[in-house]
Amino acid sequence: MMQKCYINSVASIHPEENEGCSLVHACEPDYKMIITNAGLRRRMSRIIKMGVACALESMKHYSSSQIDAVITATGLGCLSDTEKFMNALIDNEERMLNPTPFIQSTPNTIGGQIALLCQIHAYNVTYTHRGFSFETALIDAMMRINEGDEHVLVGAMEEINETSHLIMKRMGLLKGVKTGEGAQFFVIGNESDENNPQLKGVEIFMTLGSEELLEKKINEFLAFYGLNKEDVDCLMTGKNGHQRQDVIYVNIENRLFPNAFYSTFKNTCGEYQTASAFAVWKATKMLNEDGMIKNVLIYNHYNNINHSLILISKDI
Amino acid sequence: MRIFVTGIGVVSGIGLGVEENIEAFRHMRHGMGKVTLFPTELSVPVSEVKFTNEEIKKNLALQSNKTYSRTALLGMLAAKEALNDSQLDTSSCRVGFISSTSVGGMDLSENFFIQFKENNAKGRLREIASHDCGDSTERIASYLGIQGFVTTVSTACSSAANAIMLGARLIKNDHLDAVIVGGTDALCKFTLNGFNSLMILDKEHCRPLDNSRAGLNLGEGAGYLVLQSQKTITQQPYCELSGYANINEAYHQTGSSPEGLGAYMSMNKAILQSGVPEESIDYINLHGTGTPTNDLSESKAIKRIFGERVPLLSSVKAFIGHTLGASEGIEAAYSVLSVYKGIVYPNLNFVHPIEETGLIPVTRFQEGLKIRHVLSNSFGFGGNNSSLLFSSVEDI
Repeated sequence: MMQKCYINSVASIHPEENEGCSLVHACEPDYKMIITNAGLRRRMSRIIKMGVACALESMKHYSSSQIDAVITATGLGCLSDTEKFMNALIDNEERMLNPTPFIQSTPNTIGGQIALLCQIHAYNVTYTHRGFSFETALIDAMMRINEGDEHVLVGAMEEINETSHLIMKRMGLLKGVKTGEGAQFFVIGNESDENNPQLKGVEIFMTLGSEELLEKKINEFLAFYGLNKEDVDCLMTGKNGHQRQDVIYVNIENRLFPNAFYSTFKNTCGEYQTASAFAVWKATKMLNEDGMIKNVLIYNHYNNINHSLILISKDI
Repeated sequence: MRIFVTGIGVVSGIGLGVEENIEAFRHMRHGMGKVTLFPTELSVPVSEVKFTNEEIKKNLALQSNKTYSRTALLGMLAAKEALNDSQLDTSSCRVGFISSTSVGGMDLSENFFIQFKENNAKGRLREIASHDCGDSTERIASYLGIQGFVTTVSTACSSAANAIMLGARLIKNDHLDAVIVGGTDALCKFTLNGFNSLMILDKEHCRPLDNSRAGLNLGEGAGYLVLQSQKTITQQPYCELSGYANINEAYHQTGSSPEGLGAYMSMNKAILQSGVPEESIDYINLHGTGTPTNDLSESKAIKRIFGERVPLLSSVKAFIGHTLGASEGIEAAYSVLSVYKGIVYPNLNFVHPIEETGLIPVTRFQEGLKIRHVLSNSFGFGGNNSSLLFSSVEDI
């Protein structure tokens, strides 16, 4: 018997105004008000500030001692600090290097900073695997709840900078695609006083290459949670403007869910490895605000290699 | 539910394959030498895997004109050995692959970046495509023919312990039946300079647990285990993964607390979870990097748990260096053999015990001892501390 996993608190830093841009930046808050430790804040790069601030916001109704686990996800990690250290290494010919960008280049920096700032002496892990990074974090969070945790902090963050944007462009990954960034954090709990939306299930699978296989996977996934295709009220897909890759989503809409309400999320947050965290934020908001919707299925793929399914439901 | 170890694979500075590694320990052959993989201004000992990328590709029967990061290549060597060793039929049940790395394909990214920095239309794209941590994992998974649950952990020096832990929990939570878990990291200029900038590299051969220790030496390599549920086992397993814990010390971004709180908590939790009494732990594979702070705080934590009855213990870091994201993959494989064959590994370069704690490590290779349970530690940047407990299996 799996424990129920309620999405009890959410926070998001994401792009807002972005019509017609090929690169969208998150709309960042005034960090001074959120990350009050000035010394630490000054050394933080943008991704660290986004991640830490977002985590702090999502936890503001919890005390640190209530948090049983801190699980973070990022596809590319702390790119700007990595670049900074690489530049210094070349420019200074390996001499007299400032260690701060090196220390802050590791993907677990944000998880570590959250623990340090809030004094959370608990389970702490970081996943960094392309389009599976955030999904793995969610699976881990659900297992932690199942193993007895009461409150698990789980979130993702990604930063885009000029260098990574340029490189992706040169690789031909951005044909029609808007790249983005952002951070989302959630507190997942084993109980909810207010009938909050539940994280029901997450599934990841590598390149399938066949639509039949993908349909079979989706059917099996829903069946595992006792649902039929007709029970999915809203299908939220990772359409990103890339013509060939969006066809996969359109086919799933038409063939499996002809009567569902369709939604997307990358039109707002842009494409990046952990964009599905924004989808979970959006789905949670939708379930909290619309009394008629019961089940939201998020289907995302990253470059048609990493496919993921996330089911979020609300008892009505 | 019990989790069994059925396969192991290792590549390190002291050898390709588990056998070669054990032979090196037996004959006290360490892997330290000068940096040969890339030009560098730094003169520090490192433990390199003694094969070029081309030689590894040949060994793996890969096309020589294809580009792979060294991290991926090292991972393929060790993961393949582990999978073959287990004799697991990957089509017979739900098999996953969970790998860890701290730098991913940085060994190629730094080539790319030199040209890119001069002119951003330059730099070979195939040398940056493997930059992210997920690349090596997907390359290895594809090489092994695994398409199920594939993911990557990156928590600096404790990465592989967390990959092992995730694998065990995925089996216990009925997501998988079997899983290949561990880590891989190639030595690169970025990491070498990073640790140098932190001033924790010893310019001499490192001396873990010795009073004169002055820092760590870096290494490279990969190590993987195959974990299986009881119902999928077809051969006698090496041992059982009986306990594990991950705890954030929340003390400092890079340093460990002087009293070793994180080390204490992670060891203690792993022991408690297993239900094994402390006195039946017969050997501890230390994190033992050789830095003044790590070895002191780890020693203090051990004294706090075991009091005056400290088990046999040692650090292998003076043989293979600190292999970062790969370290607990490699050292978990050594720990598995410790339980299975009753091996304890020599702690090289130990002369005088640390004044405050007085712990005396094992200094010569021994095998055939009665080793019931082995505790293995890995502690990393960001306050990430992890401990694993391996136990002998007598009743299956």
